Amino acid sequence: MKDRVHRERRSQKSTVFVALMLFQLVLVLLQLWLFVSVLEGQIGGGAKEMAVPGAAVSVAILAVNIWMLLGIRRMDASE
Amino acid sequence: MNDRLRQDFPIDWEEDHYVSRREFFKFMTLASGGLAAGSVGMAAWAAIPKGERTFEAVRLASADSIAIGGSLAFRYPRPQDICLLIRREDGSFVAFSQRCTHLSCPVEYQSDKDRLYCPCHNGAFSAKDGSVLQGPPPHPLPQIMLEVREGDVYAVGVRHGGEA
Repeated sequence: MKDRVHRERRSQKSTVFVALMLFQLVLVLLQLWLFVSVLEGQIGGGAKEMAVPGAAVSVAILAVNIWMLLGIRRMDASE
Repeated sequence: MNDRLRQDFPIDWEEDHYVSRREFFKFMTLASGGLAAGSVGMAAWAAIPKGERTFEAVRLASADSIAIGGSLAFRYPRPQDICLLIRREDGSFVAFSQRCTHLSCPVEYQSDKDRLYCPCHNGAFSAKDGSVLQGPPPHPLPQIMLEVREGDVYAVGVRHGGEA
């Protein structure tokens, strides 16, 4: 009985894990797109106005990713 | 038999995948950190003013040696930076980089239209300030700052323009 509960909880955690992973993948792809857009603006057209908001969003995404990584570690530690 | 096999080969596929996913998470966070650092670096680079830069003054020609509507090619500030000194119809001197800001084709001065023309893609710049008049160039031409000292024309620096 205890083993079954443990296994179900593990399965739920695994689902949450996959969801978080996909979310992180989307965030990193967004970050990559931002990076390439700003780089293109700098090299190609010299558009500087995108650089600072792009960097701010990128840092915010990094903060979310670190927060999620810490959450995952806490989740692992609680097992 | 099954229990013994499990004891001898304690491989748990779920556990195995669980660990690799965590590693993936760490890797993605690292990649995210790299992209954020790159973005901050680019923002810092964009914040650096790139307007005017002065260099060592170089004598280009005597003012009288260039006829009105005429031009003279020179290199400034580095040997690979080709430029064009122009004497406009009103007698004033201007100088610009000769590289088109589109794909670096050399531009030529057209005195009748008072413009610098790029034959590669039909781009044109104003001979007054280097601003884009037509075609695909994304920026104005970098302008060479000039000084006339005792009848001689000197190049003293480079001024980069803003948006087209």
